[in-house]
Amino acid sequence: MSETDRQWQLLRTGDQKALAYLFKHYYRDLYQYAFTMLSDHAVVQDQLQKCFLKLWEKRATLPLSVKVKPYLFQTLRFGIIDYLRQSKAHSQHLLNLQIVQSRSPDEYEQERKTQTEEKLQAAIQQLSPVQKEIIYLRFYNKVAYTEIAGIMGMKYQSVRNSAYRALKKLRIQLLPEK
Amino acid sequence: MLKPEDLLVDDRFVAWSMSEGKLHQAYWEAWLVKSDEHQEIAHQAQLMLQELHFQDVTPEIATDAAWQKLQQQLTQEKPKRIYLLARHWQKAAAILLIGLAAWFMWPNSSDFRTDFAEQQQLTLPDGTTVNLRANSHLWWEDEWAAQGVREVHLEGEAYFDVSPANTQAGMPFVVKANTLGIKVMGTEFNVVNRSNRRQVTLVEGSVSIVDQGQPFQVLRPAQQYYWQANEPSQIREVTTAIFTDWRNDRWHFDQMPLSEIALRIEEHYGKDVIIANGELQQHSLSGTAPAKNLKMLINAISVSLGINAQIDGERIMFSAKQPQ
Repeated sequence: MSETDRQWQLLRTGDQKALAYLFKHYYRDLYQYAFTMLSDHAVVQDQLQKCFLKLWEKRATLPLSVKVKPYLFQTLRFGIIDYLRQSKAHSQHLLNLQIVQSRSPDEYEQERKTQTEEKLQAAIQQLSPVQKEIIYLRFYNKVAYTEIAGIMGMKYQSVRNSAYRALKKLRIQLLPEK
Repeated sequence: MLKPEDLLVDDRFVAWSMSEGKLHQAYWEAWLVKSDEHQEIAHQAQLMLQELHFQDVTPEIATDAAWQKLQQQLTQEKPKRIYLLARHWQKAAAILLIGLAAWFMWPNSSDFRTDFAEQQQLTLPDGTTVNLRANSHLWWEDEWAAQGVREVHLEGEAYFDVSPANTQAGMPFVVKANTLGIKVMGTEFNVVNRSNRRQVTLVEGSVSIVDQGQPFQVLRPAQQYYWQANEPSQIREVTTAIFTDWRNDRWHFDQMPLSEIALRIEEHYGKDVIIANGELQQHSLSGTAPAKNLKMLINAISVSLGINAQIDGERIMFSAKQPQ
């Protein structure tokens, strides 16, 4: 049994130290993932807190045997999707905000991105939201395709098909043709 | 024709390329030598992987601060009335007293041995947990409070989880293993003290090490102190899971010659391992083998190396396959 599995079992018995362990262990990973979907530090922070509060409330009824990392990603994802749905009314607002931001280049100066990062960002923008999320999860968060299927509620084969199409697009953008 | 994306939708290839451990190494190395095309495609796929390197987002709030924030919310979760809280304090104080008493009255049975093929989980009087690997021995003198140091001795191999709360109580935790001394500041680490080698692998936290009269050295997480007979000691970066996964009954090999694997089997299972053909000694193995029982392990090794293996009571014999 791995340490995280052991802590999971302790969490089920109501051990708050186990919650602390899991929170600290996965904090950065979950943060990165949430940030790719929300692009807002304050909202990411809020969603992470909600995710772990929910885990704590449900501690007595958590599944006995589970892969911890994908389970946490999934819990966080449900929260984020709920949030995005509820804030749909405000999304017009957000959109405007982004346009205003892009007009003042000073803001971006801080994040001096290298050329390759810009190239990658440009290539990523061509992907559908589902493709983007799969690529981020697999190559950024290092989650296996089999587990991505569970997190996103998709069939394994559809995950692979989406990934295949996304990777083909990215290859054409990123690798020079022979 | 094969494309890089064919490889990149394969979890095994991605795991191998991102070197999440040495998983599947033998498989992909064998696949690579099959054709020039394979090598070219794998090369392109790995170039793609490099391109897919995303910039890390740094959280605005550091991990510990974020946890404290969450903890505040947890305590607000269900407000309790004062007298209830007071009762809780009484209860807590009572438990603390019992705990302290238990600590001071801990019996003298501070000597633990594991048999071949046996693994034990121990909790020390201060709450430190230890996984003791097969054919190992852990002991200590019951004078911790008097000596002002929690000192334990190890022969064999063990994984220690020393909680920081305990080290803050003042007493350092020290592991003695032959000439090796490890001083701990609340941490998780694996120690090997066997006939031909000594290793300390640090998973979390920080430890300082003294061995054979050398000045002390401090390990960072994912570093390993490594000493082997007839060689100078060194500190190297490692994937810690490879050295701690025995707790999950999995053995990892990284280019390990059969002669060395034979020694590990002898240490762990107490069987005699015989390698019938001299040239087999240097056949090396990379990858992960299930070691829940001896039969599974021997089978995994013989299949991976393409050799014969026979378990005969207390003896295991590896031999070359006869040409058909």
